[in-house]
Amino acid sequence: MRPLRRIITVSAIASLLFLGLVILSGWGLSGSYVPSLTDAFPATLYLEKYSSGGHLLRSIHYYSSSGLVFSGFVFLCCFYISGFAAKYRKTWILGVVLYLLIVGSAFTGYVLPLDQNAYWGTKVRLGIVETVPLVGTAIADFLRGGATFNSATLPRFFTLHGSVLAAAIFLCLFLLIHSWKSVFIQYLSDQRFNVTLLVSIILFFILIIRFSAPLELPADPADVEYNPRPDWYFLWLFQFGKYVEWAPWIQSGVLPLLGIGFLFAVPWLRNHGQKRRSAIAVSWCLGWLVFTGLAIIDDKDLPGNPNYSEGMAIGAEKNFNRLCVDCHGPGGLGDGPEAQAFDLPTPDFTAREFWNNIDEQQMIIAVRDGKGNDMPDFSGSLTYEQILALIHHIEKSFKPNYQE
Amino acid sequence: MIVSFISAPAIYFWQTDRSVTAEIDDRWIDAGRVDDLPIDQWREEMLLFQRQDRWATFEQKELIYIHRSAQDITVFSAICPHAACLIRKNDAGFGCPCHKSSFASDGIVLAGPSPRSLDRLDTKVQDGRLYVKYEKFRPGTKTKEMVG
Repeated sequence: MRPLRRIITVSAIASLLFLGLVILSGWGLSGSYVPSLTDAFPATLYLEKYSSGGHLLRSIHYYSSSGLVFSGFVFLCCFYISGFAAKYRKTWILGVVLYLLIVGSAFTGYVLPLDQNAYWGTKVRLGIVETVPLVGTAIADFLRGGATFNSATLPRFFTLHGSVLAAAIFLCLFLLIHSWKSVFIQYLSDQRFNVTLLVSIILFFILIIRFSAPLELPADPADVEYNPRPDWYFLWLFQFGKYVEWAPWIQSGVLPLLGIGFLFAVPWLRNHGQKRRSAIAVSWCLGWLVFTGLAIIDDKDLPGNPNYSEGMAIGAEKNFNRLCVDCHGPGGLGDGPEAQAFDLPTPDFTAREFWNNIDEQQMIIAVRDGKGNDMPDFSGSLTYEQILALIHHIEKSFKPNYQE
Repeated sequence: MIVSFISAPAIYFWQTDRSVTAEIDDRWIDAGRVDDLPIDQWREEMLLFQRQDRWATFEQKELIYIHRSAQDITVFSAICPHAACLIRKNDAGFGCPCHKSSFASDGIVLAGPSPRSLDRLDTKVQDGRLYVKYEKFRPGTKTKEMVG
């Protein structure tokens, strides 16, 4: 009994801490985010790459929400096993509602960066929502603001994620804290507890600054090569769906209804001993593990999707071969077929003198605006980010003694 | 009770504000010269066009598969009718990477969960050029319901 109580306490505190971090980092992120089809990705890229604290904020938001999904699950499991669910019905129901709201927030927040993963992942999930019997299509259309991905989709998901669900979460949180007021006061007035909490937050920040929240190339609805995959906590449902393709309503209707129905009914179910409850909880976890494992095994041969900088580097190589080789040559020597007719010599990218006399800014300007009579401007065909990646590609491939 | 009254206008707006679809009359999109299409071969073609949605105009890119035989031209949307992933050409016909539906060259479902055959798009030939009426259909339903 004792260790179980400990886990309940720790997971509850961890969940509240993660929830606080998610909310506050979310407020931070929304300070520089625009939910629009054209601006969502550039805004996210700005946060990740060009702003001073956006990278850390994104990491905190991403990993805290993953942590929250995990710690909330542990809390509910142990709360159920210990038999508290029947004893503290109100807490259990609030906890379940809070957890469902959190999963809903994860669902709606997923699309916001509008990179490949966000776009395709959300498309697959909305596809699953559409197969809910009777109401599925209506719900999906309501969320999207139409039958396909459109201008209103991001504003709607952003509103649900940042306002509607967040407000509901605040309400649950308030009620939860209110009914355990004395316990909270007791904890918060304990010096040792406060110090531990503070140290763990700092440790979490230090740990997390090394990782970054994933960001892939901007969403491309016409990319045939992309393999959409859901987040780790939705993998099991994705895998389960593969086995019931002939009846998708089992995946989207029956299973969630049974699961959620069970969670809400728990406090009123006949209270059959801790052993029996442990067995039920363990079999749920095992089921989750098996399906997640099967999903990972199924996908082990799939090539991973490139992240933003990898994707840009691949694109840069293609762009070099498409736009530059005719003059600059495949080896960057300036010996391309077109270059023979030029009055001025085309520079040799492998020569040390070339790199001594130029910096990155000058190269960006040369590619963007063109140079002399022979080098055309590429401002129309390449974005700033693509020019930057192209220059990195040239440096990496040709510059003598190149170091990252 | 009170809450439902307060939120009714917002819910009504979300329910009725839908991206404009049926009102666009000119959907015929130029897909290139007919003579450029090889005979008895499948071609992957990217349609580039502009579409208006509410306040914004978008450059849209949509993938289609074109087949030209001696008599007629067949065009399939590359969007899988099951869950809207993009299908790929294979030896047997077409396959979807997401849920492994496979289709014959005439679009009929060979295997997998797809509820209907591939979505054929209307075509017309005018002055030697092929025009495709690009439409999207709701995925996951037996019947073709045009949605955009």
